[in-house]
Amino acid sequence: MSIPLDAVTTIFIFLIGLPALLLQSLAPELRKIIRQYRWQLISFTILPLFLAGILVAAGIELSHLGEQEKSQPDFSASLLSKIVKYDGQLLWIFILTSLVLISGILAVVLSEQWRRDAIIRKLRKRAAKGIARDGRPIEEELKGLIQLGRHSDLGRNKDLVLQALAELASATQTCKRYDGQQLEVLIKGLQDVLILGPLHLGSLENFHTTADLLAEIVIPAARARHSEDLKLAVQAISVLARTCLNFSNSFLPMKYLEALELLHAGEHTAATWMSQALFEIGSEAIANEQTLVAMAALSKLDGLAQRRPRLAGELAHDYLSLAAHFWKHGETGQRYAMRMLEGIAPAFTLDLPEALQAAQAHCAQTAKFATSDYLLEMLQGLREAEPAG
Amino acid sequence: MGKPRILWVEDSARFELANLLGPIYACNKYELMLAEDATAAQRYLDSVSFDAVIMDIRIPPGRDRQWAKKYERAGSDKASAQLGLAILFWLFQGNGKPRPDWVRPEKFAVFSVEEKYEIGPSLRELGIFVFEEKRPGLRDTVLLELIEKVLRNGHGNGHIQGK
Repeated sequence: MSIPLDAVTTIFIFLIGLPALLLQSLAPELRKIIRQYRWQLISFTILPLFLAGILVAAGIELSHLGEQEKSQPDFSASLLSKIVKYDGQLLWIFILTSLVLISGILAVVLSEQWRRDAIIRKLRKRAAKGIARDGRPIEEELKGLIQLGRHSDLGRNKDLVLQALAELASATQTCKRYDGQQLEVLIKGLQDVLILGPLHLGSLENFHTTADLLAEIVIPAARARHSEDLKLAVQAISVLARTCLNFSNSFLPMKYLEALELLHAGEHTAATWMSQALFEIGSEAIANEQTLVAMAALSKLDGLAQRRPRLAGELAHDYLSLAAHFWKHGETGQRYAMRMLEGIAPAFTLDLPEALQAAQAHCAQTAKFATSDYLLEMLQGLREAEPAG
Repeated sequence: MGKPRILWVEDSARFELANLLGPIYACNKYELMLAEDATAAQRYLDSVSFDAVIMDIRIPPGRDRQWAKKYERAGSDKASAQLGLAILFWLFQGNGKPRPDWVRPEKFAVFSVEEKYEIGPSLRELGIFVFEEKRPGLRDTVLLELIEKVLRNGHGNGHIQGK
């Protein structure tokens, strides 16, 4: 009885080579994640080989047994004679078919398991195990997910990671133990996924998804007292909104501005964070010639100021600083700033010139030299515009 | 206290943003918020109270699965999903929660490409009577005028709803 060694060897080489081949065909960021899970990688390589080895060993054993028993008188009636019938060809066809089946199943399983969305889902599920246990996602898995997002191509690939982060954020915030301190890594990670210094690594769609995600984070985070997550989310909104000013589309930064509206800005600290973010976005929008975004920022700052009985401190400084940036933006900008100031001036605890001086000193102290100069110019301009006497 | 809060639910606003929003920011009389899909609209309507809500009827679902399913069910003619209308019904009739105090039909207006006969019966059922059809060549101040019309109908100041 001959053993089809050529066919068996070919299938074994295929079984050994398939995981390596598939692994090489994956994007580097996915390969890195898969290599971290060594046991899974080993089991995908060893288990099919082991199974195939058992089948071949069983085939050889049966073939030999058939040869030995051939001379026995009752052999033709035995089950073994049926198995090794036609010189063992049926047996080896069955074994080879099984080996091909194992190869096929391995190929299907590997390509399913190593699909990008499957890897992301796995990472998300692993990270989510920490939510029930500690009230926050497991940091190591979460960082793996963020790293994957960071190195993924912009567009759909990054969006898959962002969606997973959104689900983790939502699960964390609906957990009873959520107190506004659990999402630091996730929120900072969002920025890492989308920006690298002043450069954006995300597509319009990615920035869009992140704006939604941050808006969803802000609502429950704002309900918690002394929420660090809220502060981080507001900072992320400011950073990402300013980054997407590079796109010609002004709807996107507006979307980030809208997310700020979901803060319970009645709380003093939240109002301060919000006003700082509005100043940062608005001033950079003017510099980028996105005047409508800047107007929206100042309008929201005005809305925030109007809800306060008196206007002082950081909120007043941010308001005046943003108005000063408009002041520097040509004649129309000056008129717009004047109109806004006329409306809000009675709300300041100080007289307008004093409030401007205080804002200028604050900007000089906090290293916003350009804004400080704009405020000085506006103060001078307002004094010159005052009727003599 | 504060300026009247307005919500404008509109997905195609990005194309006419400066024309329609410019007059609103320039007059500085209102605090305007924008929502471009059903998820964002629901988020705002759930968290903030408004003095006027201007609603588009053809809006995309956004991330929320409930709205996404509704949108998918509309088949190839996505316009027939009319998620703006679904949001209004959700707010006025069927979200399982008591309707917020500020939600009154006179505070709502519809600004959409649909013709009045298409959505008229639904709007009547909801008690919404302010409707402006979007058509080419509208004035830049159309949104501002619509807001003013709604504010004349319903009174009161907006505030963030405490949860």
